[in-house]
Amino acid sequence: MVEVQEVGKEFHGRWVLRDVSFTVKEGEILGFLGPNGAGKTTTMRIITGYLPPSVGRVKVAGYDVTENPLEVKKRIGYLPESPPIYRELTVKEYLKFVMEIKDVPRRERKERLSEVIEYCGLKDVYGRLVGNLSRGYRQRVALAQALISNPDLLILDEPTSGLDAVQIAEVRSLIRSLKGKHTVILSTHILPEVTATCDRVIIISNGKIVAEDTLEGLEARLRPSKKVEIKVARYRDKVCEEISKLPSVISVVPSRNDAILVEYPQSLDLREDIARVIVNLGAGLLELKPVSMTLEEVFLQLVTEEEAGKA
Amino acid sequence: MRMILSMFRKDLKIYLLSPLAYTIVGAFLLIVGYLYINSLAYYILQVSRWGGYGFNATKFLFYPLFQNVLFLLIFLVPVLTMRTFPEEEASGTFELLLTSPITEFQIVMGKFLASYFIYLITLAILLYIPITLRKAGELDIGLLISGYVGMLLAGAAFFAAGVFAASLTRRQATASMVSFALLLLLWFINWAASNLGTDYPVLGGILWRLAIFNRVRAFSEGVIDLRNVIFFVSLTVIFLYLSVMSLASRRWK
Ligand SMILES: Nc1ncnc2c1ncn2[C@@H]1O[C@H](COP(=O)(O)OP(=O)(O)OP(=O)(O)O)[C@@H](O)[C@H]1O
Ligand SMILES: [Mg+2]
Repeated sequence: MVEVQEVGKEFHGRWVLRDVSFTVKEGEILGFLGPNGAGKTTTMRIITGYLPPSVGRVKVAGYDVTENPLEVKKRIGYLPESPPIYRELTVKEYLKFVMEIKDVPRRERKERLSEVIEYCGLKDVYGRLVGNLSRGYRQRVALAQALISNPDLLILDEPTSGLDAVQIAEVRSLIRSLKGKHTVILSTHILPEVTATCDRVIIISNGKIVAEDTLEGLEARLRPSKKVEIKVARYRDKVCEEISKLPSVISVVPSRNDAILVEYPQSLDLREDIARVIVNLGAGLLELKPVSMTLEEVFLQLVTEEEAGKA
Repeated sequence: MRMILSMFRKDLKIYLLSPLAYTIVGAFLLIVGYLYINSLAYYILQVSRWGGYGFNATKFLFYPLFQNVLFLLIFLVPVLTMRTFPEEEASGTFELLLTSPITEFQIVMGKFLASYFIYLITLAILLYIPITLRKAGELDIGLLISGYVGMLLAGAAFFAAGVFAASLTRRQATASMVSFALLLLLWFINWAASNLGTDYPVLGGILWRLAIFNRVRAFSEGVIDLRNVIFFVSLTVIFLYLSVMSLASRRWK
């Protein structure tokens, strides 16, 4: 559905995107993850045709964005980073205008409108001026605008920004419900968003792709070490000291709730040795369990590795 | 065409909801009305003193009226057109427009027609003058038609110039200054032509052709010259074309 080939983007002599390539299959939900200024918005703008790439090519549904922008624009719904809004129009007038410029067939308009109003929870503000809505409702209106033409490809730049917790949950389940029917690319710098909605993640940092995988794959691939969490009844400091003397232990860190985190290489299993140390000390082993790395940690690790590699 | 119409309707709706449009059009009509009353009073004075024989009343009253309207467009056009593109920029809707299947040409046309439509409404309101005068006596209809054609054609060129100025910048204030300067320039080419013409006849000749003052005056005096019609239509087309180019190129900046 989307093919991004070696795209780079330069602003005033500064390259903010370098050699970005990836593809998105039909019906897939792709998460675009990266810290502020990583180049997420720029990449999305290039895919929509709003910005031309400095080098490289982008194809959507087989059409080149630069050569055939109109065919691409017919197929996409785009939620920009800041909600595009005509303050003077009512929600209804606004959405009707969007349907007109998106070339939604006249006979489908009524149905599309009521569907999107329902989907995005806009019933209560239907007749109000967009300029008078709260930030969260404007975001919903903007989301409605992206969905209204029932596009094959949805590009959502930080879809849940400005929403409250309940709305965030609603929008995420809305996005999940699009799976299979629409292809979705969404960007975020909040990790739970990716875990909650996406099939696949691309992590971008400093304008370069640093990782691309399924959620599980990413977690597994980027876990060079294992961690176990231990709880003991007594002698916590002594236990820490003894465990760190074990061969191949990478780190021993006291963590919250009186627990201890022990890290060792992925290829080994030190649980038995650890248990033996504790029993020998008579420290009273209460708990010993493996900790899986959260995506948050994976992300931080990747991004910092990238920085370190550069320096 | 449907897209142009959608854009036109949206922009027109926003104009009709904006206090700014009412204020500027209101001020425009007041000034034009005041100047008209002045010349009417002067006319009455003349007639009572010398009698009305051999004297084209329509021309006496309407020549200054047409010229005033066209000159005052220097103020009306920047205010009405300055918001066109900068406003889309400020509200983030440019991103919506440029990622929708509507072309730059359609966007420009829709916006131009909407601002021009406000001008048409203004001209329609000004029709109260000939309508009330008809009751007072015979009018030279030919001169009226020619004057209105002049206001329509020159107005179109001025509004296109305003739209072009707005397409060059992201800020309303800059847009209004640029279109003000552009219109001032169009009016004063005339002056430059007569000043430079003595020393540089070739340059003077070119400028003379570009000057709008004489062309506008011809319409106001009752002469519809095809060359003048073509001139203003071309000027409109050129400015609209430049606006489309400027929109298309701004993403490359
Ligand atoms: N029009 C522009 N002119 C100059 N530099 C730009 C422009 N747009 C973006 N940049 C730069 O490109 C880089 C990437 O910006 P981008 O907005 O794509 O980041 P992002 O990943 O979306 O960040 P965020 O999470 O803050 O939204 C930034 O360093 C930004 O300053
Ligand atoms: Mg961004």
